[in-house]
Amino acid sequence: MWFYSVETFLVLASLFFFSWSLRKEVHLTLFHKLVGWAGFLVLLSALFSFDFRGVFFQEVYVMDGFSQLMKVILVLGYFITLFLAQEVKDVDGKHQPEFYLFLTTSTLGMVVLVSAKDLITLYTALELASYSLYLLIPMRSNGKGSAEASIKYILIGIAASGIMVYGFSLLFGLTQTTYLNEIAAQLPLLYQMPIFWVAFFFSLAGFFFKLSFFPFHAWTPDVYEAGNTQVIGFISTVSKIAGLSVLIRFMLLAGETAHVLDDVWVAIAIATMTIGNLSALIQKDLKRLLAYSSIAQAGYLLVGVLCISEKGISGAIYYAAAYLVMNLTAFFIISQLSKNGNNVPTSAVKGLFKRSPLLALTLLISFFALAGIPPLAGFTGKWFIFSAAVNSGYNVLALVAIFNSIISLYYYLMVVKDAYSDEGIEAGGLEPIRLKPAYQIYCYLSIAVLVVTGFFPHLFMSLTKQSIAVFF
Amino acid sequence: MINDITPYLILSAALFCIGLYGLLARRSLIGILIATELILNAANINFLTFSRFMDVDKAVGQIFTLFVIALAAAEVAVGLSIVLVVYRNFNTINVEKMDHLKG
Amino acid sequence: MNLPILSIILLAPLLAMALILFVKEENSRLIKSIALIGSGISFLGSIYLVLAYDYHSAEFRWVEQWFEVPGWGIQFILGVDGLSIPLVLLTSIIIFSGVLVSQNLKFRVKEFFALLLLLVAGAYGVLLVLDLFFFFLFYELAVIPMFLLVNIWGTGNKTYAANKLTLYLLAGSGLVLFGFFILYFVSGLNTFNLKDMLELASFSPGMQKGLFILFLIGFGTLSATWPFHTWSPDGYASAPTAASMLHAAVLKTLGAYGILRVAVALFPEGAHYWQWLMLSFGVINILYAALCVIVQKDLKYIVGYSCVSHMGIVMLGIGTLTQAGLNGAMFQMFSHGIMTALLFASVGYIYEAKKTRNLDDLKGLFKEMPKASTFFILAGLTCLGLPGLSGFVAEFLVIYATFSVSYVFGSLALLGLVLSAIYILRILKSSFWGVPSDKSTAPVGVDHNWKTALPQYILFSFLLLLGICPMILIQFISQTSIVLLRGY
Repeated sequence: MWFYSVETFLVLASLFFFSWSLRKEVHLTLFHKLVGWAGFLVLLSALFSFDFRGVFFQEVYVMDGFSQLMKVILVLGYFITLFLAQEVKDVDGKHQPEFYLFLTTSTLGMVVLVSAKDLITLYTALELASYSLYLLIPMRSNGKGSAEASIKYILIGIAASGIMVYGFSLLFGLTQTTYLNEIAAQLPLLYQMPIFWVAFFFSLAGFFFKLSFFPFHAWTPDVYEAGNTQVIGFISTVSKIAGLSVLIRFMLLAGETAHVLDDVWVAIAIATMTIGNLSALIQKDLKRLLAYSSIAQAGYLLVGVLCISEKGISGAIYYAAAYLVMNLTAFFIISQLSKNGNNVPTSAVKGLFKRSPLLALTLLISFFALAGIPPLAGFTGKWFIFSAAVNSGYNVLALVAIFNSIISLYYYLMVVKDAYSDEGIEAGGLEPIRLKPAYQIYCYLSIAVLVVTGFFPHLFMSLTKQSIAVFF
Repeated sequence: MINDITPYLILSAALFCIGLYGLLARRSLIGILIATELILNAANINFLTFSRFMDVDKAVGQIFTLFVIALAAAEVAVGLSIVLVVYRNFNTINVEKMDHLKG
Repeated sequence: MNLPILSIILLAPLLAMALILFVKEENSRLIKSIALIGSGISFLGSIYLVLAYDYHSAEFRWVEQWFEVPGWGIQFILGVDGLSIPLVLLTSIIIFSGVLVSQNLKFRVKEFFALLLLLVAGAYGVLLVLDLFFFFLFYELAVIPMFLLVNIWGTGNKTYAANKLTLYLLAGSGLVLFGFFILYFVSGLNTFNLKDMLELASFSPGMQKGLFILFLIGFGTLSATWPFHTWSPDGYASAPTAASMLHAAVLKTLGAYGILRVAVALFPEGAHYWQWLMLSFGVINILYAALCVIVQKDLKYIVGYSCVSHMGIVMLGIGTLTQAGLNGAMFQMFSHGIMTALLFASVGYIYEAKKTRNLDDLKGLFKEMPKASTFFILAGLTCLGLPGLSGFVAEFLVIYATFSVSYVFGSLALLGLVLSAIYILRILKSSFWGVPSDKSTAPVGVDHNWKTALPQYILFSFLLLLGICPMILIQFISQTSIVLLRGY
């Protein structure tokens, strides 16, 4: 029974892609068909293993409600990325199996990350996930931009993880254990020691980098702009959610005592949201716009998590799942808009409603969801998060978050308006965009999901509440 | 071996600071990778020190060290392959020359 | 008969919108018919509500509960009382005539009607739901279609106007959102259900004052309360006719509805504390907007500012916190809605015919297009409060109530009415009844036939009806205003 867990299937999928990468000749058409099916099998296994519970390997690896739910969300993101990357245009044909291999190993790392209960497992999983992503960025065959971005990404990344390991070592010394729950149990004793603060913040450096919180957010715009669109969709959603899960697990384990760190979390959340939203207002490249917007979205997620209440965390999980769908759809639209995988300026959206009404509608729904407009899932998620914040007493934070949300509306609305207006289009600049039937179905599905889960949130919310119920 | 924990901790802290400085100040990509190795090894020394002097399960610190060594090796492998890609594109490994993308 | 009548009223425009999305763009007759039928169903539903409501009690009737999100206190619950029923009727009248007014649209018909129906669904939603989450959901839902409507089908400086409108309204609703969260937290009832809060919650005076001002400003922004009114003239002038009609008549009223339903009903002490502010806002709106009208040359801006001025009467009525004042305010909400819709409909028709909105170019319009001008003139007379039309009743009630509270404010309000008489009569004299100018380059206008005049006839008939028998409406709202004021 335990064989059919998602980890096994991810390992099998990586072996599958690895074997393809060893071939001299890659038959791309056959390969592309298989890619989608591989992702689907992994998704099935995640759904199947949703009910697995247990503790493994001397308690370093735990499967509980929370981890299995997050695994489903992560693998869903992985599957959507594979599905939408079936014919990735800016990676050389002979490198394509490695492309999918690294996506798979990265997901494997993240899946292990959400189940980890011990510092060693955490570190190993995080590194597995990160190295795969470092390798994916330079695969884009677009020259100077991707090389520079990849070196920036890897250097900041390994710096962050180096600092994190040093922090882990200090934490290990202070608490004499590497198990997260035991560390959390000793928190009340450690707050007075300055060295603990050093250790704690160093340990968080790696995760702040993954989540692109202030102050480790500077890599985001460059890497997003220069990387392959599908990979960036993956990084912006799945990898953020994995980082968020670790943060949530730590908060859940620490419980009420973690409120000592409130001021810091609030400051980081406000800084992240504000920097993200204000910088996005002036962007001219769609991927950079989405990069800054995703920095801000991570800020909203932090608002939900820092409440450490049942409401806050279940709201954050709901919003994370909604964010997955919205952001992946937004990047999908960009990949459809770009010719041969080149970057897309914001003006390229003009007249989209004529080129492909379905794509324009999908753009409208996903951007409105990101902006938090009812009755879409983004609005409902923000409602849950902000009301949880007020409920736990963080009034000022909620007010700042609401106003940040309103500021962000401006840049989302500008893009949507361009998509639907018909001014400023040069004659003959409008070729229709044909979507494959599979992609059309994806568009309809994502619209339906965003509207339905936004208007009827109770189905998913009871799921999220159940998953963390054991901690409260 | 010295029987006091403090010198080892000072050593690892010093290594960490040197590594951090190198990370921020060196211009050559290889130099930056070496600095990162210094940071990781500082952490390793910490683990081993705590494993020796404190009341922990002796194996844990040493296992963590082995993991860090292995992962550092993998990291360098990945890093060097990316340095190669960068060299092919820019013909230099001077970090200051790579500023085409806006910050 | 146990039909879920409220859900039908809410779903009819949504289903019509869904159907329209599947019809091809070329089939514009079908699209317009679907829109007409959808709004017609809601219209019939709201007439049923009006006829079947027992206005001697102010309870919520036809309460329906559909689903809930446990643990968060959110339920989808619908219900109406004497305050919401007239407004539901108003909404259905306006959308029905709005759809009729847009019969000649040729440009991107499908999306236009889909957005219009979405807008009205948002308005219905706000009026019908009794849970704060869904209240806010529908409230914000009504802002976005307006953004697209102004941007795509608008005229003049439309991008600027659309941006200003949307961002202003969303900023106001941000305050309202924050207020809702605090309400949830402070009421201690763990629910967003407004009905329960009305019955059970009580708040400390300090909290009441703080929350009241929050909601006053938040909802006031939607009601174009000075100083948060600047989105309104630009927005309405640039919007297409049906959108202006709907927004000015219905959505602005939603702001006042929000103030009544949430702020006044829940926070009596807060309302008393801020009473002077409400009265001042009301009077400033009336006077300031009236003064702005006097210098305008663009007909749509005139209507826009006059709309702002008349919302001042509503705010003034609410501010008096007396039964007569509240009755007058609610009457004015209805009457102003119909009157402004009629004004925008007439202006829209004149603009279509003459391709200009400038007063100088429209001199002598009465001779050219007598029927079209007459509707504008009749709406203008309602505006200045001619007895026999509904405007008089509303203004009389409100000013009477204001005098009972404060002579100063009453006199200022009276001054505002004089100003409105001045501007209306000036427009009529210099423009409609004036001598045609030789310098005008506008084409000759075609006057109404019965088809194009139908929406105007419908709207005017309500103005006349309410002017002659105002009790039909007042008996609705009397009992409700007593209940609203029971804490005072």
